[in-house]
Amino acid sequence: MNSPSSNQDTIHPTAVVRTSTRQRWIILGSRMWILTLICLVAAVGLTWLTLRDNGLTIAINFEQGHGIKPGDTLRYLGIEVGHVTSVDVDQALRGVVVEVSLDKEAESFAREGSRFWIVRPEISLSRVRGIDTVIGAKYLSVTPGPTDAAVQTQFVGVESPPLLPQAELAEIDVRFRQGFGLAVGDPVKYRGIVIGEVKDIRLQPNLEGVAVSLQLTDSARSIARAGTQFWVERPRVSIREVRGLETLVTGRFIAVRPGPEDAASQSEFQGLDTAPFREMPEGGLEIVLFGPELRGLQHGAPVLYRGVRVGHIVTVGLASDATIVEARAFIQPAYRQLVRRDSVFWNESGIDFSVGFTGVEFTSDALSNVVTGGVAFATPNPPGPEINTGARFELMGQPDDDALTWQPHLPVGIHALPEGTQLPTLTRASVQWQEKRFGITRNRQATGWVLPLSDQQVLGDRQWLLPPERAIDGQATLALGGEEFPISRASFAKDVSLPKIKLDKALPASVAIWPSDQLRRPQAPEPCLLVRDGVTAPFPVTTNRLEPIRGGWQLDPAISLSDDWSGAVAVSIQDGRVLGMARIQKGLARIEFVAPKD
Amino acid sequence: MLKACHCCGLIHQLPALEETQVAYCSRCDAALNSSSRYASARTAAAALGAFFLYWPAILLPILDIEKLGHHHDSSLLAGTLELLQHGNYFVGSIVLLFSIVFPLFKIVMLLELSLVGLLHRRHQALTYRIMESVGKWSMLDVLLLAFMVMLVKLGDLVRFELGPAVFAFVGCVVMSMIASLSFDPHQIWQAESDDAMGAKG
Repeated sequence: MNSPSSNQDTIHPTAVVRTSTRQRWIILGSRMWILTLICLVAAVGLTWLTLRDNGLTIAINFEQGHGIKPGDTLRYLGIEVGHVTSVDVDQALRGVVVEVSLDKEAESFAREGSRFWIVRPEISLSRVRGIDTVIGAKYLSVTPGPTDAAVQTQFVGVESPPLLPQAELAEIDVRFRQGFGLAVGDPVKYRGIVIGEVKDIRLQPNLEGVAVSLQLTDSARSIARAGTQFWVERPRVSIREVRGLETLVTGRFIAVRPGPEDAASQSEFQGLDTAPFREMPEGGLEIVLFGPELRGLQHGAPVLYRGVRVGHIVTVGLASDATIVEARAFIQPAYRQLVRRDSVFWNESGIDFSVGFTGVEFTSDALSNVVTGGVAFATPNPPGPEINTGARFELMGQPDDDALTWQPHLPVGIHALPEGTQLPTLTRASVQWQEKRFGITRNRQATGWVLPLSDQQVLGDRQWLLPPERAIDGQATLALGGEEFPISRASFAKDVSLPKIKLDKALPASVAIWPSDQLRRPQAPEPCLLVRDGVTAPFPVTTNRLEPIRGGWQLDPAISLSDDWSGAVAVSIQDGRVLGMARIQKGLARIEFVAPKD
Repeated sequence: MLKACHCCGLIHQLPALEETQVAYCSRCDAALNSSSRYASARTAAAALGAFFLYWPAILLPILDIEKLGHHHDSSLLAGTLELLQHGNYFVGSIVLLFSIVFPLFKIVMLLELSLVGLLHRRHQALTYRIMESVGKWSMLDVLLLAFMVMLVKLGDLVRFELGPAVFAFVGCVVMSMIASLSFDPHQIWQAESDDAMGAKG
C-alpha cells in the first residue's frame, strides 16, 4: 500500500500559481474593517440621534384618564409636541398621573401657567368638540403659560379646555335661583354673539340658588357694571311668545342686558329668572289700571288700541290694602297721545260667550290674549286732555258699546312733535306701463310709497314714479287707492326728484290726504322724523346725522335703514311739515327735498 | 499540502505561496487560497460590525405606527416583550428566539470562531456545527421582509414611519450576511493542519 504522501504527489495535479497584479490594500487583514468602523459610528450615531429627540419629561395629574394611553400625543394648536410615556393611577388612587415626554424643541411648554387637558369627544347641545377623537386616539392639548414663567415639571391638568386666553378674561359671579340645566362651557351672549362662557356652576352654600362664574372676554369687560341683567335663555314656547327657540338646538346660554353706560363696574350680580320684558324706552307713559279682579291679566300682557299693541302690562298685584287689583301699564312713546284723561280701559281677556234670544254670541280675542290677557282702551271723540305718568284708570270688565264706536283723530308719533300735529299717512301706489321688446308688448309695474296731497296731487319719488322711456308713448297708469289715473312722462318736470303729479280726477275718499301747504323745503339741516307707515315706529333723525348735499341731505352712513324705508317722508319736528322723502340706495340713505314752491 | 477546490472538488497539490501569489484550480480556475488568507479577518470585521448594529436595531424604536390617531412606536425587543406580556407566549417566544436570540447567538459565534478563538479546536468544531444549525433559524432577515410586507399591505390603513432602528437593522442584516458568507470553516482546521505539517516537516 502506498503511503498517502507518495499518492498525493503522483495523483493530484498542482495548483496553478499566478502572481496577483492587483495591489491589495489591507488594514488588519481585510478592508472589511472599514465597514466595521462605519457600523460602529452608525450605531452610536443612531442611538444618540434617538435619545437626543427625547426632551424633558413632565408629569400631569388628572382627575380622570379619559382613556389616554402611552403613545398618545400631546398637541399644541394641532401640532404634535410630545407624547405620553406612561399613565398610572396616583398613589392615593385619587387621580391619574400622565407622564409626557416633550419634544426637544417643545421643552418650553414645561413652565408655570401651562394648562393641559385631555381632548375627548364632547357632543352637547351647545357644542360639538373633539370629534376627531371619537374614532382616533384621545390626545392631550396644552396652552402655554407666560413666556417668562419658571420651568415646572409637575402639573395639574384641567378638565375642559380654557376657551379664551387666560390673561384677557374678566370674571364675574351671577347668582340664579335656578340653573335651568346650564352647564360649564355654555356661552354668554349679547346681541347674538358670544362674549364669554360659564366657567363654574355650584350651589350656593345655603342651597337657595346657584352661583355661576362667568368669564367675559376683554371686549365685553365693561358689561360687568351695576344694573346689568343676566338671565338663562332657554326654549320657551307659550302662546304669548316663542323665544329662545335656538337654544333647543344650540343649548342654553346666558343672555345679558347691560346696565346704564355710566354705572360703576361690579363683579357680583343677581340673575333674573326670566328674560326681562321688552325695554321701556324714554318718553313712554306709565299708568295704573285698577279693578275688582284680574281676570287672567298677566305680566307682559299687551295694551291694545284698536287691536294694535301700543304698550304692555309691567306688573300686576294687589293694592296695598288688598281691596283692588292694580296693574301698571307702559305705553310706548309713540302712542302716548292716544291715552287721554277720559280714555276707557277694559279687560280683553278671554272668550265672551253669551246666550240670548237671538242666538249664541261668541266673541274671542286673539289667542294670545286668551292666554295672557290683555287690556284694550278707547278714547272718546273729541279727546280729553293729555295725561302724565301715574294717572289712574279703572279697568272695566266689558267695553261700553259707545267706546267701540269712538274714532277720535289722534296724532301718533313721537311726543316731541308739536301739539296737535298729525303724522302724514303714506299710501302704497304702483305705476303700470307697457313696453315693447322684440315686438312683444309687456306689462310692467313699479311700486312705492306716495303721499296724496290736497288739490288732486300726489307726491312721490321720481325714481320709480316716472314711467321709463321704454314705455309706449311715455304713457302709464298710476294705481292708487283702488283707482287708476293716467300719467305721462311729459307731465314730469325735469330735475325734480320729488315730483308732484296732478291727477285728472279726485282721489278716492279712503285715501288720507295731506294738505299741500304743509310742505316745506328746508334750508339748513334740522331734526326730523322719518315716517313710514302706521305699523313701524317713526325714526327720529337729529341734525348732526344730516349732511347737506345738492337737493337734499345725506344721512350718516352709521344709520342703517333697510330698503323698505325708501319713500318714508321726513317730517320736521319743529313745525310738523313734510320736508322730503327718504331714498335708500346701496345701504346709504338720503332725504330728497320737496320741490320749491312754484 | 493538499487542498480541494471549493468549486469543482478537484484535489490539488498546493505549493508554498508568496504574499502576492494566488493559487488557482487547474480544472475550473477558481481561486484556491485567496479567501482563506483574509476570510478570517473579513468575517471578524463583518461580525463585529453586525454586533455593533445589533443593539440599536433591537433597542431603538423601529416602527412608528399611527392608526387613526393611535400612536405606537416600539422597538423590536419591546414589541416582543409586549407580545409575551399580553399572554401570547407561543408567538412571543418564537419571535424572541428566532429574531432576537438566534441572530445574536450567530453573530457572537462568528466573532468567536473568526476572531477570539477562546475555545479548543474540538470545541470550535462543535461551536461551528451549532452555529450552522442555529444560524439556519436566525430570522433577522425574514423579519425585515415582514416589515416590507406590512408597509406594502397596510399602507392605506395605517400610517407607518420607520424609526431609526430600521437603518441599524438593515445594516445588521447585511453585515451578518457578509460575515456568514465570508466565513470559511476551513480556517478552523487550517491552522491545525499547518501545525501538523510543520511538525512533520
